[in-house]
Amino acid sequence: MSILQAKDIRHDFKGLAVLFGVDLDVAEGERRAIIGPNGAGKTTLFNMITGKYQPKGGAVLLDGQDITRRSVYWRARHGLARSFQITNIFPRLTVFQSLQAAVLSRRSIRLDFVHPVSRMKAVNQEVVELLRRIGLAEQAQVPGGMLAYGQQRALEIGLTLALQPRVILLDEPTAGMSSEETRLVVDLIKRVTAGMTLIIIEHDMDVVFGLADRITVLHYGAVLASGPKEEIQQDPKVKEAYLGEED
Amino acid sequence: MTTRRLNTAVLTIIGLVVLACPSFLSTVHLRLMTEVLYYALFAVSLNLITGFGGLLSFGHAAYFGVGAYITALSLLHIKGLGLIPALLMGGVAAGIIGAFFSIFLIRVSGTYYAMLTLAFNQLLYAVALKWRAVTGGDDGLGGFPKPPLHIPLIGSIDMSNTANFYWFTAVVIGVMLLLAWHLIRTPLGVSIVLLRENEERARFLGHRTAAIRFYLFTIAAFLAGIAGSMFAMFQEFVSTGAIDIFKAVDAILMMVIGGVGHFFGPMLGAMFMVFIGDWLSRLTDMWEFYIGAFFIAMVLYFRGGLISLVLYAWYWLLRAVSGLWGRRTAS
Repeated sequence: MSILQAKDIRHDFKGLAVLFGVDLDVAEGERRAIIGPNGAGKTTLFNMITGKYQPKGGAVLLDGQDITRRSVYWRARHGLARSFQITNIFPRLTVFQSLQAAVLSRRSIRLDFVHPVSRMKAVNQEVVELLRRIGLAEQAQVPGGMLAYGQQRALEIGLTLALQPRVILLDEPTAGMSSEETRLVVDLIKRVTAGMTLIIIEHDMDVVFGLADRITVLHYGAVLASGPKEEIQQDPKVKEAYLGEED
Repeated sequence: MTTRRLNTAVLTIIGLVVLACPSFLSTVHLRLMTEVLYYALFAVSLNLITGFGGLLSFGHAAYFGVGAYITALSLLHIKGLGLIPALLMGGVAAGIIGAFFSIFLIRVSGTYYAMLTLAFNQLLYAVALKWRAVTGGDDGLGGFPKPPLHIPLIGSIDMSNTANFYWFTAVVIGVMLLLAWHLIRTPLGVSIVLLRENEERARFLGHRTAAIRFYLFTIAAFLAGIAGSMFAMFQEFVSTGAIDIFKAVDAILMMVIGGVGHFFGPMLGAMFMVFIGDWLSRLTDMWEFYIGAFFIAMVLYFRGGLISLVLYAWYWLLRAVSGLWGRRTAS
């Protein structure tokens, strides 16, 4: 049963076409990696799915329901949570406050101006639990902007996790990291997203094979191949276009 | 926990000193202190938008002015109108204007937001200036009554008495400041800070940022309207000076000099502007030049504002005291 579908997504930036009819079909509980060279349109596809931009053509379906014209916040409330390739957090809020903002949103306590947040035991308990899961318990009172890079990436993942999403989309969670940091973040992702539907954009093939069971290869705005990772690994077209020219 | 109790104690003492002002201040200074109180609320309400919401408004006098004019007009035209209803009418009218302007202001950020608020302020200024039949134009509105305050079981309190009006102001402004202080501790307050920090990310967390802005602008406008309403009742006169761009700039100066983004900053800024302004203006005709120079110095070298100076001194004092205490118990 597919939970998220993209059908014939087309997009261009001021006439420069970047996606030429991309199809994506992700089943519930599946762990999908999207790979492809720079400029293949991976992040643009994420932006279409999560509503940052409206596609010029095609449709996005969540549970079979057309959400192509839905707003970013509507999608976030209905189970699509994403992280960003370029760290996108709340620099002057502490880690605790950042996660609290996400937990409050998920519990639909967004515009309450009567009850003080400090008295919301269930919310704060949940934040503490999240802090522990992403390994930032000791950094709870540190502003997001002051964290080490790897910790900021962990916070990014924590923010998406706080929404208890049905589909979690991670855009290059290990971008710009050392191999040691990468290993830590991959372990973290494995641990905290176990059993969840995951879509991940990644360049690092070790990360891809460690996290995903199916792979979609994007190449110049179109799907070059899609299938189980072993199959993709052997696919001659993919080898030629992408895997062969490993850097 | 103990620092929290200490902070509460300090704030309580400051509150008591404010209430005790009539016993040790001259009439002239008490009148200045009354001004400090409503300007503090004016600057605090702007700080909700700018310091907490991260949006610089150049048109906050629009709400202050609407509050002032509506209170003046109500007292002038509605016979037997009470003090509190007149006050609330000013605040609510400003809130309604704020909600209406929000329809446009939720769409823009940064420079465009600043320019649009300026434009709305000028629009209302033009109305106040040109609609002479209602607003009196340049001549302003005066001669409206200042009704006594009726309190059940206690009786009527004469508001023409400077000390009585000061206490009334202190209680009204105190309640409004407590509301604002409470606001930033609620989920809406948390959401408002997200606007400043990263509005896009907030949307990806499921926050409908347009709704947050709508609430923020409406509440801030209401508070500014209450401040303007107190201004009208205190001055017993309202003219275009209550709604012009200079009034909007006053709020920015108070907020920045006091400390943007810190809840108590703008209150210090209001105190500074009123008292130092009064003192300087008696010394020299060029007093605004010195205030301006001071503002520039603050922006360039001391972004934290006066409040951060006070906090440095306070923490230094705490450390010194706790050091002494430690030595005494050790020996």
